Amino acid sequence: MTGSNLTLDVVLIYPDLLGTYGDSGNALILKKRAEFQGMKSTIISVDSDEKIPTGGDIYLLGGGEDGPQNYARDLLARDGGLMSAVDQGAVVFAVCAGFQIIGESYVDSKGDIQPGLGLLDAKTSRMPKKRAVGELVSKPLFDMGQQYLSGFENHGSGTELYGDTQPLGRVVAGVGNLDSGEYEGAVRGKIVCTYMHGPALARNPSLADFLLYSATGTHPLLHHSVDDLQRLLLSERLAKVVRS
Amino acid sequence: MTIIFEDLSKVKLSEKLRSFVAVGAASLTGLVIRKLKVGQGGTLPGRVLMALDPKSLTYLSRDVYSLVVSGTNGKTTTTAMISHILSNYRTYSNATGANMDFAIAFALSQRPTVSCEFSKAREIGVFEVDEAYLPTVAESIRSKVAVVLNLSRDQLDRNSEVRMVAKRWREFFEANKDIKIVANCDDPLVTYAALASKNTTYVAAGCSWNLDASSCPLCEAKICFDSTSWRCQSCDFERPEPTWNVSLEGDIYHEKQYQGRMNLSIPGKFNEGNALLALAGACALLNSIGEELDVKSSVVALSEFSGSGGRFATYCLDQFDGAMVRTYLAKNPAGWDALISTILASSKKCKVVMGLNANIADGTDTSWIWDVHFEELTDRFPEVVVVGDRRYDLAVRLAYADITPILQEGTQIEVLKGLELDEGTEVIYIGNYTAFFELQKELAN
Repeated sequence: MTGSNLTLDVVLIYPDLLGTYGDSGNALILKKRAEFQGMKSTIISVDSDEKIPTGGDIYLLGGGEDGPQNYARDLLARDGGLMSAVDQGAVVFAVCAGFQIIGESYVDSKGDIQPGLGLLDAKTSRMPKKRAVGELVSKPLFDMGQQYLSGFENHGSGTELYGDTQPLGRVVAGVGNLDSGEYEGAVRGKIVCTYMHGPALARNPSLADFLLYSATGTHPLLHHSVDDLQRLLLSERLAKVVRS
Repeated sequence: MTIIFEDLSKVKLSEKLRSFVAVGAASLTGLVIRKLKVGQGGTLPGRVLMALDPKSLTYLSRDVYSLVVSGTNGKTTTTAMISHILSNYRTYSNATGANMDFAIAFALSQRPTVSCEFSKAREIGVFEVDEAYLPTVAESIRSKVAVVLNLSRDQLDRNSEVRMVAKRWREFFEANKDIKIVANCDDPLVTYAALASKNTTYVAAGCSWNLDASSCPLCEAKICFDSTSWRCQSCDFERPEPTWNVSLEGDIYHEKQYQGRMNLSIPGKFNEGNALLALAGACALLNSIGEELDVKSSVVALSEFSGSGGRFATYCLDQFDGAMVRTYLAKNPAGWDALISTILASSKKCKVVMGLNANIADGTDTSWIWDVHFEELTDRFPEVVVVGDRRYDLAVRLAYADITPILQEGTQIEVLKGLELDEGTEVIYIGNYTAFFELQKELAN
């Protein structure tokens, strides 16, 4: 959002490293929803050999394979663009591996503890039980016009929050951050994290609008036919989880 | 007790008996399944066989000269093409597409046990193998040749990461230098595995999906692609020079010698790549047994190949107005993207129907549909009919690509038959795994 309140730049970080689970779809959804509100929006896709711009409005980090996770962390730390953008008040939406690397520390594929970027009070370690794979439903702890959040989780490590980092939702079905805990995702200031793939914003348009509001201060005004489809998808997914 | 049989094999009597009982039980299971019409009879009988005789793969494959085909996309088609090329030989194949160890064991168990007039003829096995099972199966059946097609993201909720598969292949190829590798050099992950062997034939089979190979598997730096080649921008990992290639006009070359023109009756640029790998694979297998493939006649034979298991097949929907549907199977983003290019390459008037399920065989996470470039279709197909258990996921994805999804309930065949079509419009159906086979079953009835 630059000056006139009419543009929204969505920065998609390293889709070549953190784009394995369809999370790049979140960028498209944010762009289109901004356009529905009459804004001009651009997706700036930044590959791992490119510099991260600091003037974006929303920064997206997706899920990825274990190997590239350390590499992405190294590049992000060296580049510094993401941290500068956060200092300037940008919104960050990080999913799964992206969630893990922006915390204080995480465990890599070899089992070694790795320092994260320290943007969140969150520590990620291997979960004692098997990998969490399946539908994940939670009740959001923030006011966002949706009673439940729905996604698909697929992670072998769990994340513990502390300090001023709050969870995004309370788990209704699935595992979420920790198999011994009851929460899903994380929120600290304008940083929002989740374990939900799907991608998360496809099933949860209200979460997309929550991020857009956080970035622009404007509420969605117009109803768009795609909202109906997304509500249908969300209720179909929720009904399926309730039945099983 | 060890007995020497007529075929001069020395096998312990207990082993022979065990195998005999296991094969009998498996065949009976297969027979029942086919009689009851509850399946194609490749999975359960194989499981019965392996449960009763875990070593059956090794035992049943003796004297069979085998080739395995593996990769994320194109296994069934390439396997069927190789069987088609080698149809003058006595071949065994898991043609139904069931591709784990037990399915291959079952295919082998259907070898006649009594000697017959062919007994002196070479017996050849052409098997498609699931990516994760390639090392085990190739080792158990002492495969002579492994044809490796491509590797990309597929069913991430249950599969290992793509690079783990490439790494396992690499370790296996390194430890088994006798196996002839026939590899698609346009795919960096396949090449990474194949480079572990000195015994590799490289085939320029094409690879339009490179999102899973954007970083180097050796040093993690970026891999740069141009229209014909690729290389790591940091280390010396680069596309090897192929010995099989096909020109833009479809002229096939092996070691720079012209072999004929590609003239497939099934659509898709990717199928030309599969055909090239099939030729190279068949050639390598025959070489391994001291024979030579007549490549030029094989190229001609491939023009008559009509697909396998309903892939690329056309069916008549209504005998009165003659409306036709062509059915395509795509299971992952690379497969869908390849079919999208195929649809766009045809100038025929058509209506597109897409089916999406998320059963265990499909992978239960549908996030991957957001990696498919549906936007390519928007200008030509502003509307697409969506069916299947996960049609809402697909509908949302299409809507964000500015395509209007027409949601339809009911069986897929009912939806297809209920379509209002202008004269001369062909229906193009693309479904993922279980959606596609549900439709095939409905079409067969």
